[in-house]
Amino acid sequence: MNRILPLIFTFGLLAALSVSAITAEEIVKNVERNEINEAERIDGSMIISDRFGSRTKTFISYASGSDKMLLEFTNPEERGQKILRLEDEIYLYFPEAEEVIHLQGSALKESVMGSDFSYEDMTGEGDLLDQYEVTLLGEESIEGRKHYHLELKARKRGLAYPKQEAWIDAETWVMTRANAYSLSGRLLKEMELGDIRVVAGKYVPHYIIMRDAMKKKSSTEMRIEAIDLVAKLPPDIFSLEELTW
Amino acid sequence: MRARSLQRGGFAALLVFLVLGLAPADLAAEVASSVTINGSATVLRELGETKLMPAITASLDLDSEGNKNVKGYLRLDSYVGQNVGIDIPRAYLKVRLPWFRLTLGKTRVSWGDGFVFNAGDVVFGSMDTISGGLEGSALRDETAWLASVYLPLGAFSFLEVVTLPYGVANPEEYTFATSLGDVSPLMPLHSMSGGIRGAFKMGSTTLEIGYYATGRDTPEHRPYVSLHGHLLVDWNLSASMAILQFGPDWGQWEDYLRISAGLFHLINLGLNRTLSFRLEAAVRPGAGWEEIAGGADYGLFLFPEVSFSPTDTLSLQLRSLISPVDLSALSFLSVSWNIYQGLTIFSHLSLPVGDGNDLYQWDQGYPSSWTAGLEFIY
Repeated sequence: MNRILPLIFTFGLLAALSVSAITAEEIVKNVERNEINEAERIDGSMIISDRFGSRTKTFISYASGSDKMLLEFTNPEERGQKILRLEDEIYLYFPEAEEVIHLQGSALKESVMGSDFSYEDMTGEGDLLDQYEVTLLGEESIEGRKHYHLELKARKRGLAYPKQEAWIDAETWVMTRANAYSLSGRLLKEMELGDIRVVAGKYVPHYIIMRDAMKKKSSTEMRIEAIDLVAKLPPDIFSLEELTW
Repeated sequence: MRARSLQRGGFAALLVFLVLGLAPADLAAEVASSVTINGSATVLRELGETKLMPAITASLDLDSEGNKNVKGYLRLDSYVGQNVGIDIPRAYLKVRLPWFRLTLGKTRVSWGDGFVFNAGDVVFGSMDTISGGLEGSALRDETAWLASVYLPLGAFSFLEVVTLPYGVANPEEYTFATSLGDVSPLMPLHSMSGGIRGAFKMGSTTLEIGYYATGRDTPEHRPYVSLHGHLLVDWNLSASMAILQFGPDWGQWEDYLRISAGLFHLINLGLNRTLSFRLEAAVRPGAGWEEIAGGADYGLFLFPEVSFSPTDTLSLQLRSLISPVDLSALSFLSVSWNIYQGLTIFSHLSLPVGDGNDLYQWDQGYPSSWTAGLEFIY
């Protein structure tokens, strides 16, 4: 899920008014340094709530850097279904039909298992500074802690979110809140992160709550049950062979 | 002689060492189980009579977990109506060795590309009209006893060799056996089926080529090529030939050729509503292109599908199998609602549309039916 964090990042102008010595790019680099790992394994759960109650999906995910991820669902309803992100490619595997599906185009924006996360949200978007123009909007205090308020604007078309806004804890470099907007400026999604713990010298939020602004009474909470930031991953784990295993 | 035995013993020891050395800490495995219970009632209209068919199907899945190099899987299907039926559609072992992967047992391999029509599926064959209903997320899920070796060639490419000692048996031929000899009758080597395929990525397009030879009934050579990619929409195109191994008549080459093509596109309508379109075609140039009474061996079939999901848990689907040659169709309308964790409420309507001489003729062969039911997975 640490890899899932960069999914939404943020945002502006007003830089001239900033009193901080740090630049927006440096803040983003610090955030990525904290959340991107060479090899990580997460055992997590996703609790999807709507007006009829909640549904829980459990998963194991493996990630390396910002562009490699393999996620396998372990709950009975979707057991064995997998998502592979490798470079710019996303593949799905359905064990029932022994079938691999290459996700392309608008299908990437489809909801994962009825949650508020899209496939792009779940698997990350790669290097943020390559993809977004970042601006420091200022400093704010959230729950008594100093935060940097950033705005991210997409440098190219086709990204999941054309514009984002994020609040970064100035001490831990953890993004604690983020909003994603459409090109017209309409709020699409809100994200909140918390339960921050130190793992292998890094600050790791253990829950993310994602709310789709378009859906009433609906939210998805992702929880880390266990995390290993120095996991020993097989060298070829991010491949079609592992996907179909 | 003794030296040869020692060499064999040394090789065996090396093999055991290699296998055990793969994951000494991972040899233990646990079982992950799940049960799927589906209860439904179907009202059928066939041969002028209206009938009711209540049914329960229950599947037990036992999947090993915890061992990265060995995997076992068993599925037990049961059908409970007035009588009881049992089937084991899947039971297999997978072993990962240093350079390749071995699969042994009853399972499926998916060659080629296509949801309903797939000329590249030279193993199981996906060019015929579906004999069952059009419900379900996987319309082609036949399995067979097979052994396969999968050799990865980088992240996106691989080679796969497969052999099916008994070929693909008709499920209606299955019987309960009382001895191992009846379960696994001895087969002459020349009657085995088998083949090889390779998949390679070329930019945004994936190329798959392969060859499969059948050994039973009518022995055939089946070479194929399959492509899939994305250009505005997802697309796939496959072509294969089924050439008689003995006495092929090249003057009738069009009888051997099969072609399938498919398009798929999903539109995100916002507010988590999605609309998707799929269109697939199966073409057999040598098959019939003129209407014959009750004909099924036509040269062209189409499969259009429209799916609309107004919410993440609700889905509406309209599918059809269309026979353009005789202008008949089997239409299928379904709605499903995943209301609670693991629970789905569903209903579907299946309707043949055609006159007395057509493949999908009203009230004959393909019954009209309406089904409503519940499915629970836990």
